[in-house]
Amino acid sequence: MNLDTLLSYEWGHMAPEFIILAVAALLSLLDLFLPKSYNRRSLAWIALVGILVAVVSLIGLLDSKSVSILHDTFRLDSFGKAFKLILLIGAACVILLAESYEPKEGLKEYRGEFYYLFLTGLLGAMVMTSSGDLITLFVGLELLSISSYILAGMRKKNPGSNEAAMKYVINGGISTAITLFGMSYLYGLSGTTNLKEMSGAMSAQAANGQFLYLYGLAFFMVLIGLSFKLASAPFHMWAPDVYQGSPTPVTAFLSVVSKTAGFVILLRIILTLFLTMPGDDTQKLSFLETHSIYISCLAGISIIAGNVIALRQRNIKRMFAYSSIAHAGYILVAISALGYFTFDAVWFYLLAYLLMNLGAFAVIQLITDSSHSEDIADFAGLYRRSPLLAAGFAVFILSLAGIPGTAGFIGKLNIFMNALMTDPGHFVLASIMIAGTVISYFYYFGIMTQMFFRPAASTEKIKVPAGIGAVVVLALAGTILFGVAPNTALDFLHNNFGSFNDFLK
Amino acid sequence: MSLSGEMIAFILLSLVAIIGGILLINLTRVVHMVIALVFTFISVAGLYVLLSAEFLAAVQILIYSGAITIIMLFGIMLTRHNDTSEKTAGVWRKLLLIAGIAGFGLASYAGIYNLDIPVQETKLHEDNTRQIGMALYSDHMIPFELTSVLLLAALIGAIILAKKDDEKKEGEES
Amino acid sequence: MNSVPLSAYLVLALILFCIGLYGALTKRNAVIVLISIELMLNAVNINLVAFSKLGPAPSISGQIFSLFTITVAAAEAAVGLAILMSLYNRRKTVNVDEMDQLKH
Repeated sequence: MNLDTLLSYEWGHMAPEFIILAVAALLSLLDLFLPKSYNRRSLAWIALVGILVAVVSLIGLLDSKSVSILHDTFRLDSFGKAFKLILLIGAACVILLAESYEPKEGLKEYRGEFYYLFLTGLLGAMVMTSSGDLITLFVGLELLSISSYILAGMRKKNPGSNEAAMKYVINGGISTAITLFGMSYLYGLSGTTNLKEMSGAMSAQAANGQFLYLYGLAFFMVLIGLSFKLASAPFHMWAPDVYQGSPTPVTAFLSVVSKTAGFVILLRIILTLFLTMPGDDTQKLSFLETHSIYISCLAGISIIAGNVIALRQRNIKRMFAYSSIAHAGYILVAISALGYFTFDAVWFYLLAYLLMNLGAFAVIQLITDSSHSEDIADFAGLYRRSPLLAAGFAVFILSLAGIPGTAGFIGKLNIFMNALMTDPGHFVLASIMIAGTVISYFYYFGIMTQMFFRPAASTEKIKVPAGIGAVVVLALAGTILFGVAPNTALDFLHNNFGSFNDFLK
Repeated sequence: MSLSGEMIAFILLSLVAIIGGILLINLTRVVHMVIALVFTFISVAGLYVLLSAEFLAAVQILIYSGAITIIMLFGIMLTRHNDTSEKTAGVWRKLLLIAGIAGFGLASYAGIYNLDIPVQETKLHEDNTRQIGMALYSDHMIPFELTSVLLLAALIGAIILAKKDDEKKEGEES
Repeated sequence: MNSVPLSAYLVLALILFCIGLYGALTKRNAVIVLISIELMLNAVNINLVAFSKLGPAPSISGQIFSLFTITVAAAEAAVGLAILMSLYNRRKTVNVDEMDQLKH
């Protein structure tokens, strides 16, 4: 390959990635050369501008056809664009939260690193959305993971943060190794790392029982490894500790951006490879159809475990960790009940989850930073101290609980309908979902009682920093808009991305 | 089956590798465990030579038995260097784990023990390094560049996390 | 001509992987846990390199993949150790079981 072939690729379609990369590099240089006394907080605004420019460039690419660069190591198809949009919006909000983040002992000279490590993590996640090559997917996944490990341990003076980072590295390392072991079989038997060619090879080889068995093993290893990253039960044990110990903006990043990226890579690998492969010797059903029961189990256990254990949490971040496990379960329901609307349901739910969860984390960050503790009792009397903030938080919680009129309700409804509409209907899963939602009312409304009916410990008014205020307003607008008029989002999805039919092409 | 030189080499190397792994599990002194694993890493490099991946063998020796082992030893020396890894984990938990891992191992073994694929002529051993370079800088350029970002992030992260803050003697927090 | 069959390499990799997994889940010293993870990644590399020569469709990609794995493993080890150092500076322990501050 010479320079001409290299230049003949449409590199312009990687513009969002290049922008993020350039901004991260710029920030690291600025952070290095700016004088020590300079307040690094302004770097967050540069990061934010960078992300917004990347969003604009991505919107400029929306109506282009799907593009493949260097044998699919990078491919921009509608799937990639749709999920990249979610990641970018989520990262922009997280940067706003990080700007206003002020832990008790201060971030000191590490504030600059704090911002651009979010960007490298985001870059990894973005590459994961638009790659059709196993190696690139793996490197993107690791870029995201390693950035997250560091971010989780950023509060060096805080023992909880150190411990969270250590647990995250160990669990993340084990899950990486398991995923890779599965990937090595996938590569080995098909002889290629390109997902499309791999899928072709797999369909051709599936008549051989031994190959089928080994592909099945690889499927389980990849599924288990990735469900660590999604924090779905029974591989969730790291999530509560890590969410609790990490700095709050990092917790928000993990629960939104990292989780979205996890679902993206799961969809990419599993759907491309196992949807077309025959599941048994009779060749009637596809592999995914015969084995979707295992994904259903993960989903069911996640919903039940997440919601039930959340009931007895007193620490607000830990409670949200369990609630995020349950939400991962809801999204897995959509994946296991694979149908025509799966992509729509997953995309919409992730969007709604992003809005409501980031809004909630913005308020949590504000309250926990001002009271220096993370107990749910800190929310007592929030209504007296700051009625607007309390109202906003109430909306986010109602949305997380899935009350009609909010985006969370529409998201759950989509997944629910999707589960019932497939043939055969997933009635058990649907009823587990309802049961889980009902259980979740208890702990969500527990916070509500604290906020509205308990006397406040202090009557001190709460000052809302600009960054947090912006996130709350944005998330509130989105949650209500997509709750009342969900078609705005779904029409946008259909007009710009069709039905994702260039996913496998 | 007559024993060819390659077979003998394979048997020796894999025995060393497995013994290294078993010693890792069974030794008590932390330093000894790491040293035991160096043998595994080196014999894995030997296996790469058998599989006509000379470049990878060199990389394996440099990175695993060189860099990673050294930083692990540093980690041990800088923390509690004469630590013995005492084993008090519950017996039941251990048995459960062994059962689970053995189940996984057997399930995989059932799939691979007779995986017989007709050997095909390959050109991997001719100019191995050149082939890797060609592939790395053409087809796999995007992940290659991405790896540089990953290494940069890891470098910065490792520095800021491991650096001791010398200004003011750490005020203990609750 | 090639006397060592593919399955021998795969079984070796499987054994090393299981040893690494057992070590990572039972060992209590965090350094040893990290190095057990490296052993698991080594097993993956053996698989990849073996398939790249003896697999049904031999290609150089396996060796490339394992190069990336080695790089990432090194980065992960460095970050893991840095986190361990910062934890040790604060808590004077490297024992995984003593990391129990984050509970309810």
